[in-house]
Amino acid sequence: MSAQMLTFLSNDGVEITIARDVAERSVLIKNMLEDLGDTDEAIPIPNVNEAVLRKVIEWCEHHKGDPPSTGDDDDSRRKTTDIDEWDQKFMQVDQEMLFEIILAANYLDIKGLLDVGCKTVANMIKGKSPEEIRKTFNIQNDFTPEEEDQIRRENEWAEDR
Amino acid sequence: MNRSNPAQHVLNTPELLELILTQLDLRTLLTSAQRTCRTWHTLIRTSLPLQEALFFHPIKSGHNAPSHDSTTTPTINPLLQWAFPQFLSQPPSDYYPSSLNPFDDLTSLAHRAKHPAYLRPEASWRRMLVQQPPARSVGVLTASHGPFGSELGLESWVGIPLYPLHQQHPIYKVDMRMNLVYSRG
Repeated sequence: MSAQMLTFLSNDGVEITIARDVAERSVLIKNMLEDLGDTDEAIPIPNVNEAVLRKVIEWCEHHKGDPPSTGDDDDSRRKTTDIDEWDQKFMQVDQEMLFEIILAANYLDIKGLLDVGCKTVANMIKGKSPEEIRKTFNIQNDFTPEEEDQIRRENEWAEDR
Repeated sequence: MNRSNPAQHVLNTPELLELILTQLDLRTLLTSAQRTCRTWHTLIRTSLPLQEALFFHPIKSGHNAPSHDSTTTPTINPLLQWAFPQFLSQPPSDYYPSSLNPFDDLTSLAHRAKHPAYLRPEASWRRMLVQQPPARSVGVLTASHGPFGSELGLESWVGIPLYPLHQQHPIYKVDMRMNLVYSRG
């Protein structure tokens, strides 16, 4: 029996056809399909462009055999920040694509992918000084010097430098 | 959706920034992330998961605890363990503390230069829970040296006080924080 195929339409107008079980890694799409019933029409994904959608689908293809997320909060609280090797390679993209993937995973409700994306960003922050973090993500320092010094003084004991 | 800058979009969405910061190690979260900008600082100070991760807000036993150890042993605060290694080590059964003053640890070279940082009244270690889920009682060990040898005994088992805070509030439990350990030491 061949898998049921579905067609999606990216926000830049490209049709992409994938197997239903892959698409259903997205809770948003899974719920949509339950409401919609069977359809032959292309399903629009208004928030995601073709490049990002193809990347997201690549992740879903690789992880289609994973046990479904239980939906409760416990998973996200796992202590481990380990990312498996395939996911690490998958996330070796430029910063813009990385954040695009996070936004798409959040919108499409793909918990596993959202987790990997957030862990990847966290790994970029780990061990950095505040100034290095600001530089990495182009964040404005909007503290007064006194405010920043106050926070520094509270936590200086824990600094490892 | 702001297509022009996805990084700003993610970092300006509190739920997503919270998910990212939840994955950070304790030290970076405490010392660097809080100082990055006002948005990050406010989120870290007000987010329950982040306050729990920082050992400032108690995790309810069993319920909210990390799934792999919700039924087993509590997690000792790793930063306090790093800062007060002698004081918060896991003692062997015949453990005989050479000192009961946590600041004896500070004589080690790595920590000595930061003595003033430790002693500040606003130093955040004082507000930190020693473990998650927090301890509700603490045993006091006494050591005595006499002409007939040394004795080590469990002097008392001190319940951590329960304060009824306000009529409208439920009983509020005070959990074991590092400052309490230090002041009893």
